[in-house]
Amino acid sequence: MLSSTRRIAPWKVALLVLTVALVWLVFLFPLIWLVMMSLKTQLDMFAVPPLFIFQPTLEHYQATFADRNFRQAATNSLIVTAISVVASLVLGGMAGYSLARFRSRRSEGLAMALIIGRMIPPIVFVVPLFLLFNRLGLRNQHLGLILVYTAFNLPFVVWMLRSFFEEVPVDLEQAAMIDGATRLRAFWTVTMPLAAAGIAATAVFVAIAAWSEFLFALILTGPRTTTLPVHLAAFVSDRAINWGGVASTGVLVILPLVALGMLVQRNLVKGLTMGAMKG
Amino acid sequence: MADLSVTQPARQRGRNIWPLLLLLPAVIAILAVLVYPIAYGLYLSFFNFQMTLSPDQTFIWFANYRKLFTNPDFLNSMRVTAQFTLMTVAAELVIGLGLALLLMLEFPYRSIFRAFILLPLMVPPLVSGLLWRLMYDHELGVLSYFFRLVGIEPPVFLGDPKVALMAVSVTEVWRATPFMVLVLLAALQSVPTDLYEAAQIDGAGAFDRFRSITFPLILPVVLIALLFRTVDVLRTFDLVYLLTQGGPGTTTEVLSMFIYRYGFQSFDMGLTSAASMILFALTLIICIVYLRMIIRRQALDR
Repeated sequence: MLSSTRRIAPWKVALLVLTVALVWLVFLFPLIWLVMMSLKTQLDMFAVPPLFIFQPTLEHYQATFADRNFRQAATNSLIVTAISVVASLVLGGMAGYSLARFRSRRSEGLAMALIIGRMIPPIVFVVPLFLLFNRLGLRNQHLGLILVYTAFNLPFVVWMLRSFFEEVPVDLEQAAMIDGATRLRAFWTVTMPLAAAGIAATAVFVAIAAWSEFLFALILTGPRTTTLPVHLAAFVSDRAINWGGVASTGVLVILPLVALGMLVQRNLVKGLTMGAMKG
Repeated sequence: MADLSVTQPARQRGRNIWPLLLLLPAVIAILAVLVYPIAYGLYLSFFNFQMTLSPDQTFIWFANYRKLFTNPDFLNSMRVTAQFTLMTVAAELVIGLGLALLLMLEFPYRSIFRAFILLPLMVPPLVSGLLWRLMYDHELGVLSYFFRLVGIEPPVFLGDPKVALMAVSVTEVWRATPFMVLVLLAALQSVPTDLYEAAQIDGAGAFDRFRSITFPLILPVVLIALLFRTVDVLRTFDLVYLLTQGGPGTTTEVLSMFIYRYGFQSFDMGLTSAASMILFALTLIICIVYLRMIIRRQALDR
């Protein structure tokens, strides 16, 4: 393939780039449109035909940041995301390390179980968790959502961290232990720094999942603990939709995700397929 | 999991409580928040439990399951889910493979194009729903405008029973096709180029090369991608919740939406649990079928 393209005439290459650019424009248009909508005045937004060139305004962003409900929801999302990331990384890291270093003949079966655990539709858990959390008083509590996000990300985290720890040669750890370090110390000073990139990527994936999650948040949160996705959905169920607010809030929800996504580009394929592919 | 230490060297036997101790917290969390609720759901599915009427739960064997299979809403949601999953995943595969092959060609700025195609993937389904609802709006939506621009009277995208499911599917195809592109691209790049050169010398055309070299080599990866996308589309909830709430009528009511409606609007928890168990079983079956195909493929390749 490589050798054949080199002989292609320049105008053909230009045509190819043009075609690709067009296809990409179609693909990215919805996002461009969302950003445009978030920057239009109320008047421009409802212009017929739609405006593609206009005087941008930040009024919707100002209104969004001034909205107490938005600030509350953003804070809730940050709290829940941050704690779930730390909790699932600590629990998953311990388990992943154990599986990486103390091999078992059953690891194939365990792999299957973890992959299937990742596949089960969340709605299957919703009714029982709703009833259980109601009884335990965990609804409308950050703790409830944190528990759910931590546990749901665990199969993924265990799986990812196990493979990252496996990539660190055992010999390095054992060398440190022969020099008198405890296993824990060997882990902190040798394994952790070497697996740091993978651990960070895993953390980013959990953060993306927790930040975007909607269904559990819808069922398990109340007015005080609403997260951003639930806050966003509430805009739409209002009869008269405030499109400016919707668009600007939408952009603000997506922005951190795009930033996080760019951080894990190198591990994207691996993360998205639970390491079924190295990428 | 009790025999984790079996393969350990004998000199470490004395400390072999560690592997278990390290696993324990994660195992407890998974048991408490994932396994126990499923077991509880299975238990509830054998009871008549109308939460709003009374807290009483009466054991009724398989009556909930029997009721489901005569419930037109449930049968409809099964049909809708199957249709939605098939058309969405098929479209993603075809478009994704096309774009991945396009990205295998050599042209300037290719790496920039590769990076930008990933953007929709970062959009949560919920926000994707919002975004498309904005564009699908009959009067003000930009899509209606584009339709009129080329002289076609736009359908009421989300209000027309014949169009709504397709419209929902389009949004998911838009959001998730980059996943296909990403995964298939990784697979295509791992096909050794000397195979192509050999085939070219033998005089094989581009299509022949794809059919007899590329496709068999990337098939295991295609199956993995299909597995992930099938189960992810099967669980669709956010998107439908935001775009149509299952409407018009029940034409876009996928299984998750059906469960949500019966669970949190009618509070028929027994029936809802039974439906959840059926969705769970469906997911398991799909996983097992795909995983077996994948494992058999990989075993053949070795």
